[in-house]
Amino acid sequence: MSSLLKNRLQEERKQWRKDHPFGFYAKPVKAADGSLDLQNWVAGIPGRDNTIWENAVFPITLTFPDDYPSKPPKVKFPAGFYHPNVYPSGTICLSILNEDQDWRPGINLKQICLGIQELLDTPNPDSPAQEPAWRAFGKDRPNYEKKVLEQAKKYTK
Amino acid sequence: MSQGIELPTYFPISEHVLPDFEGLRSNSNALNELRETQSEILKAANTYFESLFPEDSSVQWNVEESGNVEIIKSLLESFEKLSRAQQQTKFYNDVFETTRSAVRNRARNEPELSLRNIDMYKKADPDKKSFSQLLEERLSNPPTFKVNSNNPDFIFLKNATFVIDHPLDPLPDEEEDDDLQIGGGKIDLKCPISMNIFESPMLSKKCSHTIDQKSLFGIWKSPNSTEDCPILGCSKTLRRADFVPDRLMALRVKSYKAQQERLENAEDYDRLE
Ligand SMILES: [Zn+2]
Repeated sequence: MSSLLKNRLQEERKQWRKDHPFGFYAKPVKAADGSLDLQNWVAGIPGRDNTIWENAVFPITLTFPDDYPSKPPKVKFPAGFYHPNVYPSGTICLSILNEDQDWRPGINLKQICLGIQELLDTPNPDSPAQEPAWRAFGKDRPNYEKKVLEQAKKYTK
Repeated sequence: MSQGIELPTYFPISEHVLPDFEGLRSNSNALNELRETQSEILKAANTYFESLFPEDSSVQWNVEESGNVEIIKSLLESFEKLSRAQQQTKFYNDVFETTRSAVRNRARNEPELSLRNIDMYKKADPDKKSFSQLLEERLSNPPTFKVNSNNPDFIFLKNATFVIDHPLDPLPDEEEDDDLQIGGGKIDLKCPISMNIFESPMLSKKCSHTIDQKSLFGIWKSPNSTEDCPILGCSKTLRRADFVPDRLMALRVKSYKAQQERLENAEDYDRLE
């Protein structure tokens, strides 16, 4: 692991432990030998209150590439996650996570997590990543909301 | 004589006195002296500041001496007072000059007061005012004099004395500016790229974002390469040359460290007791 990568991820961890937004969690996973794998994290994104996403915490995984922070982390919900901007694999389609769009080396974990929370209730209809949720969001809102509420039940906090 | 002559309330300045009137001058020397004194005070403040807080990052601050910031602050207050005095003087001068030439121009079209035309002046507009009346009227409504703060040395010292006392607080005037790196109303002393506390903070002149020099060289690998500003949501494209040392951020870091040191010393002292 390069020293910049390691240092930055250690600092991200320190910073997160010192101060993070309410209702979120984020931590590196444990490697097979029990040590921390700083390049692979799990985190939880709470749905905002007064939205159809409320009362649930949605799990994500973050994989930090060797050239992070020049390149963004790959961030995924569980495969099959129901949201217009989430690929069937679970990969999140969000401009700040896209190297060719708005990713910047100065974007930190907190900003990523808050960005994803915002995306939950404000999907971008112009960048569909899956058929079912995208179609329902545009054409059959009651069905979309029903599906989202069903999914939220699975991740109730 | 039982019947006195009643003078009109308004009549023009006598031709005999006009040359004297035209010779009246406002005091432009005062302005120059105020300006010179101002720049001397600022120079003194600057020199003193540099002796207290050398820019060379290898020089440690004398923690005790940071209390002497008060002296710089009082020098800056004098600078501000002189700045207001200068504006007041300029205002007075301007009003004096414009009123004098207005009265002079008016007098050009008016015949000298004589017994033949005294009735004409008596019938004239009773609100017509003499030079001293006009002057008094115009001077009684001065604008508010704000410190003219476009002097870069003054701005720097003013901000510097603030951040030395409040290393984590945003500058008072800029609190409403969304573009600042404010996390919960506090300034982050850490580079957003390395997330380490700043060592040699560099400020982008184009967007006022600050990153550490090491991170800067990590992103801008060659002097001529252009890259997006590394801060979330910033749309500026930058080169290395767009960055200058961020003296204020460097002061914040030094002051913060000095504060921490003082706290630690105080704790050690408590433990000894
Ligand atoms: Zn910027």
